[in-house]
Amino acid sequence: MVELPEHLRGEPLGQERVSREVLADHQRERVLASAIPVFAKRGYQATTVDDLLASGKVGVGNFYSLFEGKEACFLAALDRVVADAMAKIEAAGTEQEGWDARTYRGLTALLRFLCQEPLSARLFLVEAQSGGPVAMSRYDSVLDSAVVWLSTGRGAHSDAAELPPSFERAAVWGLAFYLQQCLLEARRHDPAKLLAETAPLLLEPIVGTSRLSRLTRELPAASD
Amino acid sequence: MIAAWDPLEGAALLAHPIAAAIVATIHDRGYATATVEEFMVRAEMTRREFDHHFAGKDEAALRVLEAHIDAYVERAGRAYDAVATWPDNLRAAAYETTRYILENPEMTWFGMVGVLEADDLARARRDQVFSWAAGLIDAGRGVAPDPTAIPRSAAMVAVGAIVEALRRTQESGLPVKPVEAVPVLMYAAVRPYLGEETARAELVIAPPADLARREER
Repeated sequence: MVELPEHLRGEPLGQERVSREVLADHQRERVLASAIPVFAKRGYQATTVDDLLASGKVGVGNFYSLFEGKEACFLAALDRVVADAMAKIEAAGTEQEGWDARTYRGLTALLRFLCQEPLSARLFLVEAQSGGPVAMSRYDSVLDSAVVWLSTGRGAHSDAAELPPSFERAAVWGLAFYLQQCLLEARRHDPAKLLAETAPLLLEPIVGTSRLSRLTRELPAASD
Repeated sequence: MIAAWDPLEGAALLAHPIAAAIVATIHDRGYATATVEEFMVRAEMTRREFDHHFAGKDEAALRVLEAHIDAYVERAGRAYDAVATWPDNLRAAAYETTRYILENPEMTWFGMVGVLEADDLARARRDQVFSWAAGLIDAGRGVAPDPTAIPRSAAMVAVGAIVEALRRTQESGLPVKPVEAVPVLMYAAVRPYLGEETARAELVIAPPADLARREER
């Protein structure tokens, strides 16, 4: 009889021991996934630990073994939302495409994320502002990274060098605020329409009108 | 003897020590942890007096916010209405806003930052002011060569840039520098409506003398 290789030999199927760490990670992920819509719908201030226990189907002791408290749970949820959104934005373009197409695709991916996962987007864009100073500083640093990215576009476009030094800050801050307002309207938004609304304000000053028109033609954003 | 319930609001509220006490307490303790008792101690007010004027903490904070918003909108709106043409009227309102901020730093902090942790009603009231400001900006459609080409979001994006700049300045505790801030924000507001060239002109328009002198100091 042929024997299984060493690495496949173990406990009989269904009887493997699951480590405490794996269990805790699994439970943490489950609580976080269920906490995102709770924080987004109820608001950070109005959400209680009891709400999080109920949504995550977890006991008090378990909850506090996973998170120090409500704020720690909120910050972990916030980090997770940011990581998810960033992964989608980064996956939307490749380095070979150049700054213009990558940025356009990244903006498209961001708006798609906002439309497809409005509760996650709301957690970051709206609730981070009421989640205390640590949440606010994380919100600020995400926006600051976007400002830095947008500023790198100046190098590729001679006309953009003439823009006011704080143009990128005004553009990113303005965009974030506009998207907050869209989320607060609590209606479905279409990523293609949002792209048509925001790309001219964010990208046209940097890449110019004709280049933006080309990007719009070549990289259409499908509507939901 | 204290008479029946008598809501304190508007200019009378802003002139009353309780308004400053509410703002200062929320500034020092945070919205969630600030208590009515702390408001009363700072304002040297009894519980009976407080209850005579307010239904509770949220309502008192909302009333202060509303009084502050009404005072601001009245002033900035007057400056805007005093000038006939856009974007000159918008610039006048922007500089009047700057004066208001310089004269009322605590109240501005309260409106921009302090109420972020308040209830939905306070945030909704705050957002109404932003919509009002967006209306002042969006009046640029009336003078734009092609109003249909302007994204609907243009005014709100410009307001957002202003709001975020104010919030960050307030949180950092850095002094507001109108000579630096207003021209760039005017550039951002004007560009979608009148184009790059007119927007750039905003960057070199001198600020009102009183504000330029203030910033030099």
